[in-house]
Amino acid sequence: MTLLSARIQRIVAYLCCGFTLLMSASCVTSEGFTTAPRDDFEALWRIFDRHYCFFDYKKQEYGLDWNEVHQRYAAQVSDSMSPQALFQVLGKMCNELRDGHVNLWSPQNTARYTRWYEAYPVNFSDSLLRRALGTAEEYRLASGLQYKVFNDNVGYVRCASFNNEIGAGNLHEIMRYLATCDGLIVDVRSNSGGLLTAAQTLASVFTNETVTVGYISHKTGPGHSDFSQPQPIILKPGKGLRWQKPIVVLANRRTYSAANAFVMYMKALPNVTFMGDHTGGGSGLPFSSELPGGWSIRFSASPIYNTKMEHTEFGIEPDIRVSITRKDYQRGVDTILERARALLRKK
Amino acid sequence: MRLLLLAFWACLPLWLAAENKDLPNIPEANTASPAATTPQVATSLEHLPLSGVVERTYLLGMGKNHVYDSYLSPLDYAGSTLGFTRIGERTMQRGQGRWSQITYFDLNASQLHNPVGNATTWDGELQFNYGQHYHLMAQPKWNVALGGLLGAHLGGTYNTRNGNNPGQLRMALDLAVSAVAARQFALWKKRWTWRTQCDIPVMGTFFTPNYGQSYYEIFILGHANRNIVFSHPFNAPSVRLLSTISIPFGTSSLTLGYKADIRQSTVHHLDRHAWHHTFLIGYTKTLQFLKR
Repeated sequence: MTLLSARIQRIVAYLCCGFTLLMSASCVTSEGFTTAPRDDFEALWRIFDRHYCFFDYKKQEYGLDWNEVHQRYAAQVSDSMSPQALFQVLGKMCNELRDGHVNLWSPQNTARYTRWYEAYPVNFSDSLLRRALGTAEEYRLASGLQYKVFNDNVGYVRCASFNNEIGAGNLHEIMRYLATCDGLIVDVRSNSGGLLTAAQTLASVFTNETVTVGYISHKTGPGHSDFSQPQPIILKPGKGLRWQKPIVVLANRRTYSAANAFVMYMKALPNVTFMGDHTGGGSGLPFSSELPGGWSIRFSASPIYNTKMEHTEFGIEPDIRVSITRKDYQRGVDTILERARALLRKK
Repeated sequence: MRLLLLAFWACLPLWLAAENKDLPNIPEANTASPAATTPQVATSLEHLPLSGVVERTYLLGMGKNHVYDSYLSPLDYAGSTLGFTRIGERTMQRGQGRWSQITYFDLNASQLHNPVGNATTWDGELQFNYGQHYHLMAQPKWNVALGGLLGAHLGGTYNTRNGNNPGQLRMALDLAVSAVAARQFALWKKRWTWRTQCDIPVMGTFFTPNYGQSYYEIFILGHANRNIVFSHPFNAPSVRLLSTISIPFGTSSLTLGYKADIRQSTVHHLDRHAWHHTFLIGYTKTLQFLKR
């Protein structure tokens, strides 16, 4: 072995040792949760603690203290508890957030907070809708939207869900069909949401200008108050035919999430009256995560605000509050729909 | 990490065992030959005169990947990975043949599961690196080179269970310090070549969402928030180690190897790692183009 190659060997050996030490010190690792029930509890609490976006707002609204929640629920969790018992405890903890976008899924059940609609009248009925729309020959269906012209020349569009994108071409044809109507009712009652992009596409048919219809921010760190500067949500006019006359938007307590956002967008536009019941809210864009034991969770991660920078997490108040009376239910009359038609006839 | 170290060090005893054995006689390439630019099959980049030598290595890899991405899940995902690697090296004319250029292409795909096995994540990455090495030692037995690589990476991770945060897009450019050590030794009457390359990115840039920022906000609403970040060893400590043994086999060499590709980042309170450990098999072809 020559002197030079011996030196080379030493250099290589030192480099390898240095490299090993460097890599050992630089490892980016997870928190190393186990699948024990206590770790499931801690993981759930921490995921919310770091990522949930409404702590400050809900502390203000109803005194939510997430550290106090940890103390109260930690005492109920032990490593010897059954999965069913653990699910019950964790489900109740999720409901402390009073958020329909917070869910915990296990193989046997789904934890969900439903008081945002179960505590209130429905103000919508499939039977009443069937009476209003008539048979399949009496209304049209395009891109998931049911639409027709009532005999008083008021147009009606029923959007039951924003789960699928709405085609711009379909919207153009719908507007062409309804173009001669004196007014338009857009019914998003019991629409539990879906794609925000679908809600924006539908709303884009009702504006001729680029307009700010809300704001959105996101968390920039694990602290409860770590947020980005809210940025505007811009609504651009749709490319096809656009509606120019009065509109009434119908919503109820089950109008939630993307449908709630749709109502928020529409309220920022001229010529729009919001009628029916308070919406259910759900203005947090939900993210997903999971627990070490395999259960998956969902939670609100990005808050959406209206044009006045107000939260709509607990819903939007209608311009005209109308409920379907019991008498009208029995007579087969949709009170909210009839009031909307009357309003548009007057206009 | 233990596997990485074991594999890396496993090559050294082989080399040490063959330290004092003479290499089998192999005729030197005659650069004064009147032959045109007809390529001739050579046995290794290290042995022949440092001019006009091209070496191409094609490797298929199979191994394990271990991924953690706190944007998608707080859990570690692990599973198998398949990959393809192509390395091209050629000596350059400048510096009296002491410079070589290298191109490194890698494509891999992994299927990963969470610890309890009820969720799946797919991960894939394409990378292309170009660099040059200066050969400090270019002797018949030994070759040590230092240089740099410019790399481009494109890939992503997709969790099949998540909703509005189903995946992560990876786009990165980096500049890495690269070191190569190669050794030829005789074993069982054949000339084997051991080669190890270690690349450590020292600076670069990559795309990342902010802590709780959705891709909807970035790409649909157009709201950027420090999504292109500068990378360095303290926020993106990464390394790629490729160690191969080439055994002459006909006119080529059978190449067996081990690759550890450790990519990590911690930025905007988001932590990520992808630890690839892959065993490789393929072949190396060395050609020498003679000067007129």
